[in-house]
Formats: sequence, structure tokens, C-alpha cells
Amino acid sequence: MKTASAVCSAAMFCMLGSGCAGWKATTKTILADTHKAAKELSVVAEPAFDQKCSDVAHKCKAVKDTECKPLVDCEDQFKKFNRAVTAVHYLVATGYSLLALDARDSMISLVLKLGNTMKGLYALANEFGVISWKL
Amino acid sequence: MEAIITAAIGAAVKLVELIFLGTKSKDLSQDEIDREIKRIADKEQSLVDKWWNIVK
Repeated sequence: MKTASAVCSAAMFCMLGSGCAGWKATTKTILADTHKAAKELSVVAEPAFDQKCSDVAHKCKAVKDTECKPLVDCEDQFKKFNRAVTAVHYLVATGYSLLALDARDSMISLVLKLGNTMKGLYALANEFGVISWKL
Repeated sequence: MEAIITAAIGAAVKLVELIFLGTKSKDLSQDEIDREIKRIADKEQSLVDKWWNIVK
């Protein structure tokens, strides 16, 4: 997360500064790196959620609780996490469109939003116990 | 003379930038992003089904 924040800060500095001719290249790197980070986080979180929710399911099965409210909660957490990951990917896709349009001002706000969405994603992963990184 | 050198450097930088962007765009495409979004949705469905099958 610290790396992602530092990269986003560097991108913002570059994009806001008038002397940075390669803002598109820098931004494109940011988008690719963010996509990769979200993908990797997703790959790490999936087995962790699987373990966590499977354990809950087995506990419900043991007491014949077919409604299994704890599993509903676990499933909701997984879906909430996936929505956040998907939001990052959609923002990255939008970023590529903005690059093609040369829309620097819109790109600045998108990079800010992307940084916040990534931060929220790591916070969710931490909150749900699928990663133990400190923000 | 100075203006010509500045323009030449500017053109060279632009060329490198275009080459760089062209190369990088092959690394991450809209298709790749769409595939990842679909993979997440498919994985979600399969895991949710698996968990509820345990409970049944």
C-alpha cells in the first residue's frame, strides 16, 4: 500500500507539474501497476476467503443450521471485497480511455479516485482478515 | 541554433514516449481487464456455490 501511495503521489506530482513531458507514460505505468496490484490482491484473498467461509459452512453443517447466517455474512464480505476489486479494474479501464482522449484534467481526478479505491480495498482485506498488512 | 536543438530534443522525447506507450499498451489491454473482471465474477460464483453445498 505504501508503494502504491508513493507511486500515485509521484504520478500526481508529475501530472500537476508543467515540466513533466511524459505524464502519459507515467500514468500508463501507474494504471498497469494498479491493475496488477489489484489482481494479485484478489488472487491472495480468494483462497483466504475460501478457507474462512468453508470453515463457517462446516460449522453450520455440524449443527444442521441450513440458513447459516454466519455464512451469509461471510459471503457478503467476499462480494463486497470483489466489488472493490472490480471497481479498481473499471477505473483502470476508464484511465486508458482518458489517456487515449488526452484528458489530463480528468485523469488527475481519476488517479486520485484510484488511489482512494485501492486504499479502501486494502482496508477491506485487512478488516476481513484476508491479509494482515498495516496501512 | 538553440531553438533547433530544443525542438530536436522535444521530438526525440516525443518519439520515445510514443514507442514506450505503444509497447506498454500491448502489456495491458481492455480485453485483459475484461477477462480479469469476468474471472473474479466466475470465481465468486463457484466459491459461493461450493460453500452452500457444504451446508446442505
